[in-house]
Amino acid sequence: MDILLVSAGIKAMLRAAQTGIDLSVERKIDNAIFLPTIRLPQSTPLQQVSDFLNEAENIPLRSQAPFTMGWYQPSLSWTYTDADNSQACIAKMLELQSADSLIDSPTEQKNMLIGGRMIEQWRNDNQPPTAWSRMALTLVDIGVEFIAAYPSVMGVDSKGEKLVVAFADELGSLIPNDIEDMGKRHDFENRVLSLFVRSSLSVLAENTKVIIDDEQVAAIVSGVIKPIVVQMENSDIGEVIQYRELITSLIGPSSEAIMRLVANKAEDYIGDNFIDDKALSAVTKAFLNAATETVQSKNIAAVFSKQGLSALLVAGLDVAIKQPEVFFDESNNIDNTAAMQALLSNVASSLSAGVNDTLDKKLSTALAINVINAVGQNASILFKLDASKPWDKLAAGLIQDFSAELSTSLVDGSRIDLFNSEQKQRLTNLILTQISQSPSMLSIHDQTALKVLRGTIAIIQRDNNFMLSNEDWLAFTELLSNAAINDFERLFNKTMSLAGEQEALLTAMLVPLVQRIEQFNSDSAALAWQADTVIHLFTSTVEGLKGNISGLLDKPNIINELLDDLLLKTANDPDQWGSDAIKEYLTLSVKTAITKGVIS
Amino acid sequence: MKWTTNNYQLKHSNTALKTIVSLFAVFTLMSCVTTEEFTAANDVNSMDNNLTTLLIDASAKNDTGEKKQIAFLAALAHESGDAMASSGSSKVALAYYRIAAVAYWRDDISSNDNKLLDVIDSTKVLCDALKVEGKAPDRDCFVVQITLLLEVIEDKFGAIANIDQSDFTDGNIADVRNLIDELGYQANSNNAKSQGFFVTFVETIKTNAAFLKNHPTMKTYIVETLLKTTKQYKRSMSEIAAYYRKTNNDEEMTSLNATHPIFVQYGNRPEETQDKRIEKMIEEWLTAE
Repeated sequence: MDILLVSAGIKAMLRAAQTGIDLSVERKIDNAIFLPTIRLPQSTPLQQVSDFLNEAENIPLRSQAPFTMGWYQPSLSWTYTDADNSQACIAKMLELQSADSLIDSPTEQKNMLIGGRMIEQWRNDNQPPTAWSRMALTLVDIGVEFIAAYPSVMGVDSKGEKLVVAFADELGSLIPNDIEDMGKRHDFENRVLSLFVRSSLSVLAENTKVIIDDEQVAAIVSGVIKPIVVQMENSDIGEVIQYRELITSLIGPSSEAIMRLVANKAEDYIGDNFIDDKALSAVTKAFLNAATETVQSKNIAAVFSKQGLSALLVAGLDVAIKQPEVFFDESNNIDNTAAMQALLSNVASSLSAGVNDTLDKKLSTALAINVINAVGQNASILFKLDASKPWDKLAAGLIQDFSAELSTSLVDGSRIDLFNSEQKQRLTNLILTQISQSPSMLSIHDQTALKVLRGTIAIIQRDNNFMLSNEDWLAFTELLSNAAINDFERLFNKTMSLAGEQEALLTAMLVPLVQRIEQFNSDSAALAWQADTVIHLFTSTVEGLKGNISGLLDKPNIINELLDDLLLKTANDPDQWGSDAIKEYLTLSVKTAITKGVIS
Repeated sequence: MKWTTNNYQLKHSNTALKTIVSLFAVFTLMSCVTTEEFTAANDVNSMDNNLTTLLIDASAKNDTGEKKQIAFLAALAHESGDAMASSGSSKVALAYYRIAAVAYWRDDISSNDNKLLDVIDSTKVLCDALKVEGKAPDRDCFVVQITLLLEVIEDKFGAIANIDQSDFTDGNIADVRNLIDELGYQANSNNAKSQGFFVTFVETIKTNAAFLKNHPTMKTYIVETLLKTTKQYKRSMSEIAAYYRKTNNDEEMTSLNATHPIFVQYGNRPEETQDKRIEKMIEEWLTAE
């Protein structure tokens, strides 16, 4: 580093404290202000005649009657002559003016409406430096705001102070050496920067244990902020306006979530705070490119909704922070910017094609987020398992399959349709999260997750009388997804013949059970199956199916027979059959029935 | 090299300056300096917004409710300006004084005129001191300087408009003449009266021509103000001159021409409309050396 630079830096340090506040204050008092115009009396009718004859198009009238009598050329004035002539002149003027009155209002009236002008503080040759001072002052302003609001965050030597310092250190990478090169991004860059500084400080304010260090700030600046502002450079003014609007709605709500991801990285991976700015950049660019793209005559931002796209961005960046090699891996020559963009386009295409209107935007977007999370976090393993199935294609396929399955299931009045939006999202997420614990199931076995979803839904849909609550069914979904990790092949792929139809073992067993219990509940007052007992029956059955099922294969109706037998027993001796007794009986007898084909 | 307003034309085209600017943001926070001026600057912004609203409302409704609020705002800004001046925060004080000056001008309460004079005096002291260092805020110093002239010009033209002008007589034309002399009177020697306020305004603009040349928004405002005031002045002068011609009062006509050079200058111009003549005159005033 140049010695002059060091000495200049030291001098700046010595006076910077007061200068910073001075410049911050100056910027505020330098705002343009409204200065009212001088108020002068309205002209009299006679003065109006004079003004009328001074309009360029009326010059010929000066020498014509009735105006010529009062016209005085040296001062270009018309003045009072006598009452009759004055009245005649006013009348003639009004007559001529009325012909033009619809064309435009007089300038004097317009000025009266405005009533003043905005006045800048400085003359041109005395203007403050713009880009540098404004961005530095922005940091100072935000810092001072936080000092007042959160003294514990912004005190001397605090985390907040260090964070702002970290952003200040990164200004060099945002501002080109020649400020003229900033062009259209001049103010915009300042806005985006301030958004992230505020968000970072808010994250610190809400959790004082959080750490966001210099390297992480550098990664955010070069990986997220810079791609956002650079994207705008080559746009024309119309595109600039649209882009700014998009960023406001896309990045505005996302910035705090993004900074929270960064902070969590430090908490979750002690000793490894490294965040790959190139991976962040790949995701950010992919989103910016996609957000302005149009598929099937619909803008992608409109397909997902801006809030949805913002949530998708956060999901993508989450993957980029945790598994950066998914998006960028220099050693393996991987840059998946285009793949991520293609994924968004593909998903948007299939959603905008409108497979079924029952799938709302919120659910579609949540589904896409869940898939990106599940597939993205495992992308490296998936690639190793089967290089012919890139993660983006796999994710697109999953989103498409899940969307189609949900669309078919969510017909009006169906049991699944009675789940609220959040419960529907959890249903798919439970399956994806559980299945992705064994990444090979996402890749090697085609449509594994889809079959689990399909099987689960097939069972839930049979619950016509609200045997179980939505939350109970979600617990059941988790049970099945867990079972699928180890026993997918048997439970969801192996089929058995039941009533003449080949069904997956799980659905072949559980669908008739649901129907049977519903029938019991409607026919018999002796044994009303409560949710707790039903869940126990399902759990016992699923557990039984994981073991020796030769008895079941010999006698496919054995569980139903068991239930009939239980009903008889409870009817004959109701005092003996409390819920605990029933559950105890089911635990043993279901397993025996499935294994040996007998009722114990 | 100081980070002061007179050095704002710095070109930041090297990394050294980039580092310096980054550092000043850094160390501002580290020093944990007082936020008194920062709070005051926010207050200035807020007062400006309130004043703008009140001025627009007052102009639209033309009632006295807003005027009282404007007067209150003027007093508040005046007091805050004095406090900031005492604590050495000259630029913030000047922002408050500018608000006070505009508000005293537009509150239409004549008993507050002496307060406007106080503000102008206090402003002058601060601006003169800051000008030595090249730090005087351009707009705020200039605006305070012209508010009194704008108020007086408004008052005098308002007074002329209150005189019955439908049928001039020796009596009422003398009243108009006295008032127009208070605006446009200017004689090279043997001054019987003080220089008119409109003439003073024009002279002030001429003195600040170089400044206005580089301050587009202020220049536009001044040009508009000059157009309106000169046109109004010319209207009244034409009527007085017409009466003297009609009554063959050569003596008063000669006196009028001798003591109102702006009107004479207007009469000698070749342009075909009054607006063109006035625009050319303003152009010349604004290119005065």
